Amino acid sequence: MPVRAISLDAESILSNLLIAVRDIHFASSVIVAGIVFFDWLIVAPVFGADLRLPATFSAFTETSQRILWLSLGVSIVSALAWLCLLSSRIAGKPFEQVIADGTIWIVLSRTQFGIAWAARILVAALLAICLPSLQKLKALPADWRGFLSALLAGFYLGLMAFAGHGEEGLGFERNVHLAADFLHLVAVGLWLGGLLPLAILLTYLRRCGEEPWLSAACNAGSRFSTLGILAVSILLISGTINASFLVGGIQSLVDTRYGRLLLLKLALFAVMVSAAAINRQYLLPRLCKADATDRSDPTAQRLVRSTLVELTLGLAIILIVGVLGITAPAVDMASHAH
Amino acid sequence: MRILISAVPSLLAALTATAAWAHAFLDHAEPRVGSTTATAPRELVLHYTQNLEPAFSSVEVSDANGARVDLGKPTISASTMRVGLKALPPGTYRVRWQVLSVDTHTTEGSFTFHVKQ
Repeated sequence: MPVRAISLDAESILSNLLIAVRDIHFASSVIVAGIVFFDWLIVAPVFGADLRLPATFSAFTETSQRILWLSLGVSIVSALAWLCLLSSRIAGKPFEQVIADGTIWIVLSRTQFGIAWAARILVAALLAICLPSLQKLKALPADWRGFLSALLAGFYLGLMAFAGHGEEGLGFERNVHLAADFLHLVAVGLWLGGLLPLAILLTYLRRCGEEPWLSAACNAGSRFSTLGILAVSILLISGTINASFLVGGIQSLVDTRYGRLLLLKLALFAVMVSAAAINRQYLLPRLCKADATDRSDPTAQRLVRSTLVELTLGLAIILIVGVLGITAPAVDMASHAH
Repeated sequence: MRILISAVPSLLAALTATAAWAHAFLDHAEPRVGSTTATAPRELVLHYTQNLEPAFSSVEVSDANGARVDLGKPTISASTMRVGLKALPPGTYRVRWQVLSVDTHTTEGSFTFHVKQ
C-alpha cells in the first residue's frame, strides 16, 4: 500500500487549489472555444465578404483576438497546474516531489486522464499554430477556415470530458456518458463562451455607429439567440444523461453535497435561460425595430447589460462545476449510505 | 422556449432512475467478502464498479500476524484486479485495497475472509 506523505491539512489546501485551478481552466477554455465558434457562426456571416463596418470589425477583432490569446495562454498554464496538483493528490505526495520523482510523468503517460491531457495540450499547440495561419490562408474559403478552427477548439474543450466524472460507468454506458459530457462541454462553449464576444461586438457596433450598425446588431443578436436555443437544447439533453449516471434519485439531490451543488447549478442555469428568453422575446425585437439614427435609444445598451448578467451567472456555474468535479457523485453517497 | 420548458419533466424523470456505478467501489470479490472457504484459494479476484488505473491501484493480503501472503504485484484488466496467493493454511486473512478509478478518484477499503480448518 502506498503511504500518503502529506498531512490532512495539506490535502485540504491541495483540494482547494485544485478547485481554483479547475475553475480557471474551465473558464479560459470556454472563452477560447466561444470566441472561435462566435467568429465562425456569427462574425463571418454578419460582416460578410465585402467587409462592411470596417472600423467596428477592426476594433472588435483586435479586442476579441487579445482575449482569445490571453485565454489560450491561461488555459494551457492552468492545464499544466491541474496535472501537477492532481498528480500530487493521486500519489499523496507534496507538489514538488511528484515533479522530482517522475510521478507526474506516470500520470501523464499511464492514466486515461494523462493521455487525454496530453492530447488536449497537443490540440492547444495546434490551435496556437493554426489560428494565425488559417486566418492568412486566403486560398481556403472563409467558411472552411472557420469550420477547421471551430473543430480544433471544440475538441480542445470537449476532450475535458475524459478528465472527470464523464468517465463514470462501464462498457457501452461509459461511452454514452462520455459522448454526452463531450457535447455538454461544446454546448457550453457555444452559448456561455459566445456571450463575451457578443457583448463586445454589440458595444463596438453602438460605439462606432457605422451604417448599418443597427441591422448588424439585430442580425448578430438573432443569430446568437438561435444558436443559444440549440446550445440550451443540447445542454438539457446531455445534462439529463449525465444526471442519470451521477445523481441516482431525486432524494440524493437533497441528501448529498453533490446533489445540493447540482440543484444550485440548475437554479442558476434556469435564471440564465430566463434572461436569454427576455433578450429574445423583448429586447431583440425592440432593437430590430429601433431607429438607426437615434443613438440615444437604450435598447442596445440594455441588451449588452443583459448579456453581461448572463455571463456572470455562467461564471458562477463554472465555479460550482469546479467543486462538483472533485466531489463524490450523489450516486456514490446514496449507494454507500445503505 | 416551450420545447425547453417541456424538457424539464424528462430531466426529473432521469433523476428518478438509479445508476449503478460511480467511483470505483468493490462490487464483489472471490473469495467473497467475509466468507469462509473450504479450500485455500490460489488467487484473489476483486471486481470494481468502474475501470481502474493499473499504475495507481494495489492490493495486499495478510494473515492474522500481519505477514503478507499475496504474491506481489496484481494484474489489472479494466475493472478487475487479481493477485496470486501463497499456499494458505487455515485462518483469517485481511485484504486491503486501494484503487484509482479512471475518473481520477482514489478509493480504498478492506475486508476479511477465512480458510476453514
